[in-house]
Amino acid sequence: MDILQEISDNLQKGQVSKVGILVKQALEDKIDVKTILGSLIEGMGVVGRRFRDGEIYVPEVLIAARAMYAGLDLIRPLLVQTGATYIGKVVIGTVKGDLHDIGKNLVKMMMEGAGFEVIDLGRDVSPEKFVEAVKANQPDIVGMSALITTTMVNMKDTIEALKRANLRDKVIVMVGGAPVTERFAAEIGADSYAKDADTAVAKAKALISNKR
Amino acid sequence: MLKYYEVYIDKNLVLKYLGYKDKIPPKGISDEVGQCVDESYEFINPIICFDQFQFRLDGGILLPDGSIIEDGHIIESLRRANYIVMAVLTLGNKIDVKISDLFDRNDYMEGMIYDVIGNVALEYLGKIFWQDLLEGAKKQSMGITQSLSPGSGGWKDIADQRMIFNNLDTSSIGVELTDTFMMKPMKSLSVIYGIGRDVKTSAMDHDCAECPLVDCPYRKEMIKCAD
Ligand code: B12
Ligand code: SF4
Repeated sequence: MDILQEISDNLQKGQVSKVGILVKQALEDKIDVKTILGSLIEGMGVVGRRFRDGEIYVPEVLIAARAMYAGLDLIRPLLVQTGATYIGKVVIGTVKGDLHDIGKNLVKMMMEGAGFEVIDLGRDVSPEKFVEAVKANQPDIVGMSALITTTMVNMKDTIEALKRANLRDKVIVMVGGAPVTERFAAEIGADSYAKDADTAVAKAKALISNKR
Repeated sequence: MLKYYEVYIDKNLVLKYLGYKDKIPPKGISDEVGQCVDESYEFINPIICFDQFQFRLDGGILLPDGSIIEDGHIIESLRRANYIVMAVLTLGNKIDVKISDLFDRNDYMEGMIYDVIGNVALEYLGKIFWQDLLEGAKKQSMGITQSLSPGSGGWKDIADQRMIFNNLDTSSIGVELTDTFMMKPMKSLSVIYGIGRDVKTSAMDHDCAECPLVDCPYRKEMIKCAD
C-alpha cells in the first residue's frame, strides 16, 4: 500500500507509534513535507466525517489526534524551514477574565488537524494581547472563546480594539463557547459563530475560501 | 468550618460524560479511562469551606452582612427555609496543573479524561456533602433544597458569587474569586442550600430542570420528590 495511505489509515486507527515510524520513513523516502501533511489532514478528515455522522465519539477523535500529533510534530520544523503553507493561520484564545480552555483546546486541535497553523494565546487573553498577536502573526482568522456571561463582553472589546488598530478588515473573527449564540456573534460584529469544534473547522474553511 | 471528604470516581460516569451514553466504548478507551481514574486520586484534594446563616425575607433573601439575593427563582427556592448553608467546594490546584500539562503536551485524550474526572469528583463531593446536610436536617425534622449555584441553572447572575465569598473565608481552602466571578482553582463550586421545617427535601442534590442548556453532556433532571 502507498505509504501516504498507510499514514492516513493508521492515524484513523490511532496508531501513534506506527504513524511516527511511517512519517519518518516518508521523510527518508524524500516525500515532500507538504504531501505528508496532506496525508495527516486526509486521515483527520475521515475521522471528522465519522464523528459528524455519529459513528464515533469525541475520545475516538482524540485518539486519532494523538497519532496525528506524532506525525505533525516530526514535520512541523520542516514545514517552517521549507516555507510550505498551511491552509490558513489562526490566532486563538479564551478572552480576558475567562479561565475555561477545554473547548478552545479542542477547536485548536481540530483546526490543526484540518491543516491550519494555530497560534494559541491561552486563556485570560486581553484585547491588547489579541491585537499584538494579530500584528505579529498576520493570521487569517482570530478565534475567541468565552464560557461565562461576564466575559462575553470582552469579545466585543477585542473586536473594537482590532478596529482601532485598523486590523478588523484583515481578519475573520470567529467566536464560540456555551453562552455564545449566532445572534450574539452578529450583534458584536463577529463574522462567524460555531457551536462545536467540528463546525468551527467547516466554517473556517468556507470563510477562508470566500476571502481568497 | 472546614470538611474533608474522600471521593469515589465512577469510571462509567466518566465514560458517559465523555459521550458513551448509549454505546459501549472501545476497549482501549475504556482501559485508558480506568487507568486515569486509578491514578487521578493523587491529584485530588477534596475540601469544603462552609457555614450556616440566618436570613430575613426583606426585598429578597437578606443576609447578615446586608447583602440581598434578589433572583426570583432563588427567593422562591429559599423562602421557606429556617436557615441557609453556604459552601465552596474544591478539588485543589493539583488537578488543574495536571490537566494543563496534558493539553500543553498535546495529549488531548488524557487532558479531556482528567478534565471529566475532575467534574465527576466534584459532582460526587457535592452529593456526599448534601447527603450529610440532609442527615443533619432530618434529625431536626427539617428538609433541604437542592444545591443552588450562582450563574447556574435557574440562578441567573453569576455576580452573586460575591455574596458567598463575602460571607466565607475561603483563603483557608485556597480558593479565590476573580473580578469576573470565576474561582481559582478551576475545579471549584459555590453553592447555597436552604434548610427548614417547611422545606420539601429535593430528590437529588442537583437538578438541571431550570437550565436552558438541553444538550449539556452533564444534564440530569429530577424525576420525583423524595418525600
Ligand atoms: C463542566 C462544567 C463545569 C465544571 C468544570 C469547568 C472546567 N472547565 O473546569 C465545574 C463543575 C468545576 C464548573 C464550575 C462552575 N461553573 Co460550570 N460548567 C460546566 C459545563 C457543564 C460544561 C463545560 C465544558 O467543559 N464543556 C466541554 C467543552 C468541550 O465544551 P465548550 O467549552 O463549550 O467548547 C465547545 C464549544 O462551545 C465550541 N467552542 C468553544 N470555544 C470556541 C471558540 C471558537 C472560536 C469557536 C468557533 C468555537 C468554540 O467548541 C468547543 C468544542 O466542541 C458548562 C455548561 C455547558 N454545557 O457548556 C457549565 C457552565 C460554563 N458553568 C457555569 C457556571 C455558572 C459555573 C460556576 C460559576 C457555578 C458555581 N457558582 O460554582 C462554577 C465556576 C467554576 C470556576 N472555577 O469558576 C455556567 C456559566 C454561565 C454564566 N452565567 O456565565 C455554565 C454555562 C452552566 C450554566 N448552567 O449556565 N463548571
Ligand atoms: S444542564 Fe449542564 S450546565 Fe445546566 S445545570 Fe445541568 S449540568 Fe449545569
